Amino acid sequence: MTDDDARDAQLLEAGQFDRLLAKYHLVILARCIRGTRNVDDGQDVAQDVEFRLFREFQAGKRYPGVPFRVVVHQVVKWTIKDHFQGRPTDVPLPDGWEPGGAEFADRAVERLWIGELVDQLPDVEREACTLVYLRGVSPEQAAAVLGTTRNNIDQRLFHARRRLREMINGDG
Amino acid sequence: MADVDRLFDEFAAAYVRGEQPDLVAFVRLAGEDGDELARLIDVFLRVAPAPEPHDDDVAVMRARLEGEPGLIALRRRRARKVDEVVADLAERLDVDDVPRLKSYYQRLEGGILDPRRVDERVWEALRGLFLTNVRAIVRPLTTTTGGSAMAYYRRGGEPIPDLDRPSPAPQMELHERLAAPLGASPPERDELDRLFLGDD
Repeated sequence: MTDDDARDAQLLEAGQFDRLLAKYHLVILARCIRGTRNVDDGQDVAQDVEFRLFREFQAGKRYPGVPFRVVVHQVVKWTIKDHFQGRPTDVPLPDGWEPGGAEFADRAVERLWIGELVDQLPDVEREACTLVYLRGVSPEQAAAVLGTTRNNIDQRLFHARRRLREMINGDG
Repeated sequence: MADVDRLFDEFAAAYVRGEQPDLVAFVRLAGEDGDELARLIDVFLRVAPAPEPHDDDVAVMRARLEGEPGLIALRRRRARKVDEVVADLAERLDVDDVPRLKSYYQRLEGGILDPRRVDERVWEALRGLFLTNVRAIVRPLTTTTGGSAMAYYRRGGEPIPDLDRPSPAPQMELHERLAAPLGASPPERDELDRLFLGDD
């Protein structure tokens, strides 16, 4: 578990469900919009995901040893599946479901653990991506850190995005 | 594709600064490339650490989980009364018909006005008033029967309540507001109508 995962676990144990769900709101929404390929449907499904998770928390459900973000993505995946199969998406999750079960081996979920996509980038692109996108450093600051120009950083990010797009297209 | 790259950069930069960028607005701005942008952002969010949310975001989420519109929660956090907000809004939008503006504002705040039709000037005014992106807060609202307000707009076809009817009382339950009968829309829309209902 990362420090961030540990922080999430603390919030869950402290019953700060609203804070936890606010933290992951955009993650959930982006997954749902991408999954449904429709902004309005994605908003509806995202809302149902948040309610499903909230009900689970309120009912005392906990996920020892499993990072919260993995739980989020699992519930998103199930809810989108329900959406496309015409089942209600605002009903409670099945009894006894476990994010650490067979579904846990899902390739897309595993990727969450290791940041595989970014890791696959060539060094120069990964450095720029990590600094600008993952650590919030400005392109100008990244240029100073990496001893290059702003234009060079822009080029690295441009190529990184192109590679990421290719990887996403092969994501299934 | 250049627009997608630019929009992605803007979104990612705002996210890592700890803001809550308006994802829906970004995807809509991308137009036909919305799917592409949504996929890029989705992958980015799968690997980027989620920033700690601001207290405003937590309050809005708490309200929504309790079935209350997020904008009402935000207004209460700002300790503003409806009339104060409406007076400020009237000044920012240069609107004289304050009672009708109040009716529109309350419907927007209550989640019973389709936010997609609301003019950019209103969002800008609300941003200035609440010092945050209100458009991202006015979201589909789940009814007490489990449906979403956005689905309600889509199913209903005509989302416009009777503008001559007094606004529902703020304390009215959401399902009561949604169940309230819709009247005929006015024959012609003036500038104030267009600010909240669009041109259609």
